Amino acid sequence: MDEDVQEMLYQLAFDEVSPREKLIFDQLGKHYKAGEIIVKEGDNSSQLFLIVKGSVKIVKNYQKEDEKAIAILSDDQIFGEMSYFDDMPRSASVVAAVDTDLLVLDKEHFDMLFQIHPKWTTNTIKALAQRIYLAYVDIKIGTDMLTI
Amino acid sequence: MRYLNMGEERIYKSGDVILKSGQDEHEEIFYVIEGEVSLSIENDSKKVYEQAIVKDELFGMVAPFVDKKPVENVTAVSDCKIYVWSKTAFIDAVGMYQELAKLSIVMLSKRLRSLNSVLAGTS
Repeated sequence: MDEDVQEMLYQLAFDEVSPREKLIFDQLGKHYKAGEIIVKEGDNSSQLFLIVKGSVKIVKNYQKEDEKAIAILSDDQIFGEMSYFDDMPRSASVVAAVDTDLLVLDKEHFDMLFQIHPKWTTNTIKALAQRIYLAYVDIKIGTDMLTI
Repeated sequence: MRYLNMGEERIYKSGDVILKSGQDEHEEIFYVIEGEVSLSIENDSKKVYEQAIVKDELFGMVAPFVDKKPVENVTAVSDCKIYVWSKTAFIDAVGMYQELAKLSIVMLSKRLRSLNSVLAGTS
């Protein structure tokens, strides 16, 4: 890993720099236009994404007859962590809901963040817990509501 | 498992309710050492979702991390030995033991995959 990237990740881990900083975004960032597919269901990729600005939809069976949106995520939320940790194919597609800026973290990058500072672990747990809670509520009351 | 510290072991008998939907003050995270529990979600007393949780799996992580009352019920379906952390102790343990951190996230991912399949009508 490039030393500059290592240094930036170290600073990111300790909140010494914001994901919105141009320096970070130039190295690790990517812009998606509204409607662009970021992650495709069934793919074997394992990158993890942090939403810098914008929002994304998590969709099952995207562009098929039984397409179903199951969540919307926005600024400062992460996604893609499931395949990163459990090595399973992507469980859903992720599509930019609006023009969106993301930090794209490879395994190497997130391994480093994960080891440097426990807050990345607890933030990931919290992000998954939030989505599970909303899924529990949706199942309990039997709605098709998008959750945020 | 070296990460089974900072908490306590508890024994539950088959049929014991470990977690009840809507209960107050749920700030504990559980690890199954022995036995099996059932996690279920009910609507009007009818089970609309159920999942078995077995040895070396975790449960109870959701409500403490979202600061809400639990939606799910968890009941022992056999005599069980369960390791229990407070939320604070669990966060410390996750910070100290990478294997517990990874296990937690893998468990949550597995649960979310299962739930997403149910919601998408593909389970």
